[in-house]
Amino acid sequence: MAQNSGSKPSSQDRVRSRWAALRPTARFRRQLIQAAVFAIILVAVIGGLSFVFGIIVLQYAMGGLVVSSIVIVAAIGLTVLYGIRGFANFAYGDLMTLGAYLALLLSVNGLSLVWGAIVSFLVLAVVGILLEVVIFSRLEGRGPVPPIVASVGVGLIIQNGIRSVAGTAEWLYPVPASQDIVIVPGLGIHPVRGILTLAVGVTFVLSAHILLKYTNLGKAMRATADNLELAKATGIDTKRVTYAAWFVSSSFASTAGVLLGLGTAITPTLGFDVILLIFAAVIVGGIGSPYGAMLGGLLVGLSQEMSVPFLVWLERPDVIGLQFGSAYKVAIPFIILIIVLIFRPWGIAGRRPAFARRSYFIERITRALGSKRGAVDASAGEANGGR
Amino acid sequence: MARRKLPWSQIIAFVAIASIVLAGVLAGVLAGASPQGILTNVGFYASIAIIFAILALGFNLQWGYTGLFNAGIAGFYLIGAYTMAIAITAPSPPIVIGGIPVYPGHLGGYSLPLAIGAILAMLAAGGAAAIIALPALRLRADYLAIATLAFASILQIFANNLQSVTGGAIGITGIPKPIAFLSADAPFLNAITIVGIGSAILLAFLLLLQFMAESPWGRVLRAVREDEEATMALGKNTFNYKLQAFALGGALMGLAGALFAVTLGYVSPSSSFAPAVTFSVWVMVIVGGSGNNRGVIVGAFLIYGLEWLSVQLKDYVPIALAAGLPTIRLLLIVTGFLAGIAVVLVVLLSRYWPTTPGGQVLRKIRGRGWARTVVIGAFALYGLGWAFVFLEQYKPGAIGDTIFYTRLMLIGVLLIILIIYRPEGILREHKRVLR
Amino acid sequence: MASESILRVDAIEKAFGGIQAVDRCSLTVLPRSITGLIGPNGAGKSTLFNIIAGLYRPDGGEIWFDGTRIDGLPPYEIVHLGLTKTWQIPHELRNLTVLENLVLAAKGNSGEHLLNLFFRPREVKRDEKQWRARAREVLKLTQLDGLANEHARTLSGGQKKLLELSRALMSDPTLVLLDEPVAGVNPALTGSLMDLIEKLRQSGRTFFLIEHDMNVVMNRCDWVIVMHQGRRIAEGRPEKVKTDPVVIESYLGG
Repeated sequence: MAQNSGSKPSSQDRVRSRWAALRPTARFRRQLIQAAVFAIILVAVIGGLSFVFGIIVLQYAMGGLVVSSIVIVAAIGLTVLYGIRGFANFAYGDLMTLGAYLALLLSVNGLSLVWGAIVSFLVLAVVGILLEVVIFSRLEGRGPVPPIVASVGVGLIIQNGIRSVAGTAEWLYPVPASQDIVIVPGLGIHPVRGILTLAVGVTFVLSAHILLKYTNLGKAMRATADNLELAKATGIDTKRVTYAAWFVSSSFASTAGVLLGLGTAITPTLGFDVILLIFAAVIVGGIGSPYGAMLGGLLVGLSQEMSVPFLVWLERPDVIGLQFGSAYKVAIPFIILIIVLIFRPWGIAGRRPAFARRSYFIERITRALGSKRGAVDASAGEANGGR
Repeated sequence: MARRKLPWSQIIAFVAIASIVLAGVLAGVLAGASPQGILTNVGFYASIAIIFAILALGFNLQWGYTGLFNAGIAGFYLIGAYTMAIAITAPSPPIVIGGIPVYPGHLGGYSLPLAIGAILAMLAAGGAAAIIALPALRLRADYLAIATLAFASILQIFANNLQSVTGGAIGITGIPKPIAFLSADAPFLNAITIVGIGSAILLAFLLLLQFMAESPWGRVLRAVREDEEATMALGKNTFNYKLQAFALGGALMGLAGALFAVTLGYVSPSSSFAPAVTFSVWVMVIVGGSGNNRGVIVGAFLIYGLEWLSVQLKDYVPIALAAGLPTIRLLLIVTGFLAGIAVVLVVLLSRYWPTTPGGQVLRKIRGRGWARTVVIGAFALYGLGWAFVFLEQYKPGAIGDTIFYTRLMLIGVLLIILIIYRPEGILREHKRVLR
Repeated sequence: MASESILRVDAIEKAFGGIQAVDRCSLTVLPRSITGLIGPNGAGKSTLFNIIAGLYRPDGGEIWFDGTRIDGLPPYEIVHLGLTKTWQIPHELRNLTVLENLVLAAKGNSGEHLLNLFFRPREVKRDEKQWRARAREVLKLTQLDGLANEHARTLSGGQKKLLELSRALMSDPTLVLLDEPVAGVNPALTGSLMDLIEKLRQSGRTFFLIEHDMNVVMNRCDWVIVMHQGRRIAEGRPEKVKTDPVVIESYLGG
């Protein structure tokens, strides 16, 4: 964009410079390409499978997408807090439950579910900020374990408070019963559980994206998640960022809870039952990265749902005669989580920490297997380069 | 150590435990239970408390000494219980009634002696801990917590669904007791035997753990907890030490599970192995003081005592509340009125007469963190009182059920308060001085 | 390089997040010497020490200690081979006593192995007594014996430095890497410490130390190596290095 020194910048140059601000950086470009490749592989795999096994694969994939949208909304909320505040919020599931119950309470008393969800959104946001003020601000700088313990305590209080007030019976949202809308014979989508969930999921993902990329607050949040000390030093009001993080986190939790409640019955353990799924999505995607959370959520949700036909196949006596095969589908994300934790704890979108704890055990095995030291070091260098 | 100060916290702890037991006994007497029934009940409390104490000792070894935060205690507990059940129960084949599978059967039924079963349980749980440890121990504390929690959850799923191995949702029943009493006094005598055996095991392992903790080996563990990198630089293979501590802790948890199977007589994938168990053990160890073996045993008796008491009182609190409802409401109104006046007074004084002692109150409260918490806590309690009253009015009898859940809420509150204000525990770790 | 070097660093590289901390650095240390490593802040000296001691894995290059290749080995193995390192910022074990801190540095305390506790109790007791006595001796040398039973967190900054040094001496090492051993220590004690190091050198040990205190470097080191921006830029006898224009410019220019 060379300009003749001294001459007034032409309107063309001005337009070009404005576009330049939006031009993605090298790293972002690389991530975009990675995401595109991922998406193409995903579509190809699903397409291939459905070609071989029939349209039922698409139905499971659809179910997986619906689950993924819920997981993604929840995971974005969790990862934002994890990245900025630096701890794993074990009460997140119970916050989701609280959101679902609040919406339920309002809708049972006459308010439409949509309004109930909105009020729940706002109330949970306030609850989150209160939690920070009363509890978590006192645990700063004490290491990763005390906030986990405190969050477990909060979760216990919320879950059992709900139990005492609302009882352990299952509730259902007052949604008009409806049939699946058939797209193609063999492939149907439920208007509420399917379409609405997907729509809400996409909306929230887009809003999170806009917030983080294009607002000053979002930029401040990203900076703080990246490096707290540096953010403080550059004058960012980290207190405000922290409150914003809790706002986003808890409100997303409430929405995810409501979406979850739409699909199943509402019980006091609604959120807690899926919290490991959300953690799996967050860790697989990379802590602190909302885009990682999206990828992780997609991976986790799809793998859980699409494993069902495979598990059902395992039920056949001529294979291994596994009983209740489909009940094991919830174990699939856990297995992915454990694998990721072993080999790549910083996730897809994360960076290898500079002072990674080395596993001499694994290093010795790789050395014994004769792998070139260069190969391992190259990946370290690549991961270290960039930002 | 000049003058011996009275160990207040320990005294209070023992008094608390004694009062819990007394209250439970009283509840039993009020309910008209037989002396034997009451004693059996107390025996049950003691047995389960001992089991939790062993769980706490295992977690203390992992977390208090070595700094490994295990969120999957329930998983190792489950492995121990099921291994014991599989090993010592008589075989029970699947039961099909009228073409409907009523009971899926379970693996094993080897009818081995109890001691062998317990050893197998410890080996299984310790082995599982070692296997998990290999990849997991190099993870940061929060990742380790998530990984162990995931592990425990997977185990629960397997226990529920691996029908022919674990007996599915029904589980394994008919686990033999240590001595097969046949008289009518059987429950009472069983309770006594189990308490006896349990106490002996607890004492033995307490002494063993103390010996190991005070040893040079234990010193390395404590060093690993302090600063793993520095310990490595001193020439210690820290991974091995973490592995040993984690596996031994897991084995202890397996032993607790084995005892549990025998005490209850059956195992099933129920709430006995839910994450709440893990969280309760956390409270017990935090209360007792992490690193303090005797302290965590006391912590176990205290926390489980509250749980046991809540069950005993379940039938009495609602009646008391219903009878006393008008009085309670009156009390709340009066207190509220008085408190309101006090608040107005304090605010006015601080505004217009700031130099008087009354005017200083607001500033003092603002200055001290704990004072603020007390004030907020008082307001919260007051609100809770009104909530109780309304609940009782609109849903009479609901309180009885809620006692069970308020106990868990209490554990949550305890966790929060302790971790903020008293992470070293209520019973202090006794100072270790090397001479 | 010289085949009788006790430590040979060969083209070691290490980058952290885009910053090249050590840039193909090569150097040698001769046995029974007191060698100094100096250079402006950020030259990569402490990083290099951490790499040698096994705490960081180098991205490239080799390190040879006494004929054995040690890069990539875990720290505890390197300690067993006879190479110890102190920390620039003391890494004392805060809630353990000074004596415990030292006894932990012992090599081969049988009580540290679980099975020995049960199967060889007498040996355990014997070793423990022996090492405690040895620890007290070392504490006397560094004048910390009065604090033996205090928790390490109560020590002052200078005392923590002494603790670091004492720990390094416990394991009877062949080569000791000292990272600013006397920073924050009063001058009188500095003198006796350096005397101690000199005495130990004469009994066969080698010392490789990072120091900013030029008195110590000039008066006590046989040989000085200068690092700047991750590589060795000069080396030689202290007087020569002091007047080397390349060295002076590195400190001024940075």
